[in-house]
Amino acid sequence: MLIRTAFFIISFCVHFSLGANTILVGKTLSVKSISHALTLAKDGDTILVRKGTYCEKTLMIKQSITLFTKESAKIDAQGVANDILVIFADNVRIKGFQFVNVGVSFLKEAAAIRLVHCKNVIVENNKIDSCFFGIYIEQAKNSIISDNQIRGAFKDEASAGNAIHAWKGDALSICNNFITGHRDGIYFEFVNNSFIENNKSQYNLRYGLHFMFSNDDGYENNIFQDNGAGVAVMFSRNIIMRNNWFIHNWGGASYGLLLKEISDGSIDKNHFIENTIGIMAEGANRLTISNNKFMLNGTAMDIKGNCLDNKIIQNDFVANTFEVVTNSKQNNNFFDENYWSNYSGYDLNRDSFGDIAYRPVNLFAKITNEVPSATFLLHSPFVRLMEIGEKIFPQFIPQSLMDKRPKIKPYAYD
Amino acid sequence: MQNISFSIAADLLKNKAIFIYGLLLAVLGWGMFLIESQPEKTILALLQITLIVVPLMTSIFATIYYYNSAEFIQLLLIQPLKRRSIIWGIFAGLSSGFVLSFLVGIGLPLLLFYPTTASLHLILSGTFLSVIFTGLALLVSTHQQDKARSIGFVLLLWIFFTFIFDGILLWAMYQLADYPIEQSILFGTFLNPVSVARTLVVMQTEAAALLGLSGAIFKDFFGSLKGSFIAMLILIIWGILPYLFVKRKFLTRDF
Repeated sequence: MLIRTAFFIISFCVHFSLGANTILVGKTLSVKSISHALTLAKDGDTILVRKGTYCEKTLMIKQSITLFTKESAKIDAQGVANDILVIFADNVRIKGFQFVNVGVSFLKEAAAIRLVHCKNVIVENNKIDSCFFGIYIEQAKNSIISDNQIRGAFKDEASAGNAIHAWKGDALSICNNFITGHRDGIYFEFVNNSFIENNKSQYNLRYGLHFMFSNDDGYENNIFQDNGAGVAVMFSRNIIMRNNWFIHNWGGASYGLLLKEISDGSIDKNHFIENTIGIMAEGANRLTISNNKFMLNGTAMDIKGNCLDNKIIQNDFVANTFEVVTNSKQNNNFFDENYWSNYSGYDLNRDSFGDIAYRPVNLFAKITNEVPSATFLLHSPFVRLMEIGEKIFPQFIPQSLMDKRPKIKPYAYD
Repeated sequence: MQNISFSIAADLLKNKAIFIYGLLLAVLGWGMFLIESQPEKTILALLQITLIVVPLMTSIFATIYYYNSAEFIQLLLIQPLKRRSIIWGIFAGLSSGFVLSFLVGIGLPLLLFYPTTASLHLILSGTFLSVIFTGLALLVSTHQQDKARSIGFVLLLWIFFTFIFDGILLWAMYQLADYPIEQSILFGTFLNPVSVARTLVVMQTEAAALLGLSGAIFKDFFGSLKGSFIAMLILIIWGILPYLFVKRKFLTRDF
């Protein structure tokens, strides 16, 4: 990313040195609107917008320009369902604006900023309020979306748009954004080799971050809080998920992280705290889930029978109601060296791992899976009795789903 | 009337058995917090103790105490005292002794080490259970002449409320899984004070796990202030109802 930024700076310097113009836009100046300025601009020009509210619709940017404001000028779409800015050119930079009031339409996906078939675009430090879609990326390459604040106030999922929506893209970088109140915080569809970093995505109606058919991407150091579900990774390959916080994604069908038909990724050093289900995995294959902390979740991990060859190693499972839940009698995944706070074994040889294997799936979890209303009997002495019986004579829970080397003391992941 | 309950409470506190009961709770309550570094786990362990140990101990001690003090009660009866005040004295004295032991043994460490709403609910539940099972023990004792049979019956009651009731409920859930039974289960649990007490605490500690469709229904009910209030009311009714029967029997009984 550093190299890319440096490249941009150099390329802009080159533009300026070629005698590029700066066009000033302001209510009291000769150029009064941004659309007028765009008709005057040539490749390499800079448009500097003065303070004020500009009511513009569908500004087409077809030149490689820098459009920016130092006084956070506001561009208002007045509730009409049209894009405000549409970028067709490469090397465009948009900085410092406030975009407001893009209307909701069920026919077209209107956005505050739309990138179409372009590369090397930077969108930074903008504020986007009450817009249907925030930033809509259509077939863009090598672009950076950073330090934006995108706020929606949607009430229902059907009529809400995504904050950052990327449909076909390559080498995108989405970082340091603050996103709230949309349908999906960040949505990736057919986006490869991209990176999502340091974002905060909260109170979105559906997912904080959503991958569909996207390969070789990564997300790191993000916070996903109080979303319908934290992150959904679906039909994708090689996604690296590291150091993220999944907090309080809470509700009837809520997950911290939903994995569906994905393979060959890694989930490393994340925190899952107070989610209804920490990780929900369906058809997830060959993933490495390691060094994560699961704390105070309803169910730490729900791993369905169609998940194969995942390695779940060296995680902390602390004070979750259910540690692992599954719907199968078989187990095709590998659990090793995790800390389970419900484990009550001993360590005679002092290698810091318990001497008896631990089975994290308990009978009651299986019962509630079959009869949901049985959740009501949680911590009933009767259920305790059944669990003790099941432990002594295992009948129902998968025999092979066990951690042969459960850690005695928790790892310190903070 | 007060004097009788005071003297019974004082007598109970001098009793070795009640002292050991208090000590047991204190060792469990204080010890758990000192050993375990995760208070979320401790409160669940204390919940199990409250649900299993408290009803068992209170009902058995109360039964034994009632029979052992049969002569003392007869002595009181020949005094110019109202029967009403004697039986109230016995009930109030016994339950306050048990409640005190519970509060010192489990309540105090909970308040000191983990002052949350969940702890508060657990303390309230334990207090109610002490009173309720004292009442149930007296109910059995006043209706039964033989001490051994009384203890047997009290044990049966304990097994029924702590284990069998939930077993029946689970069986019913499996049989009727295809129907929307959540509401009926909700009202069904009112028949068992131990279930009500448990649900009251669990809703405070682990709402996350209870959020499925059916979980949400219970959560909506018990998790809300109104639900807590109704659950408390049910527990109060469970505390009063056996006592009313005890009183009726005691007033007309031939000693």
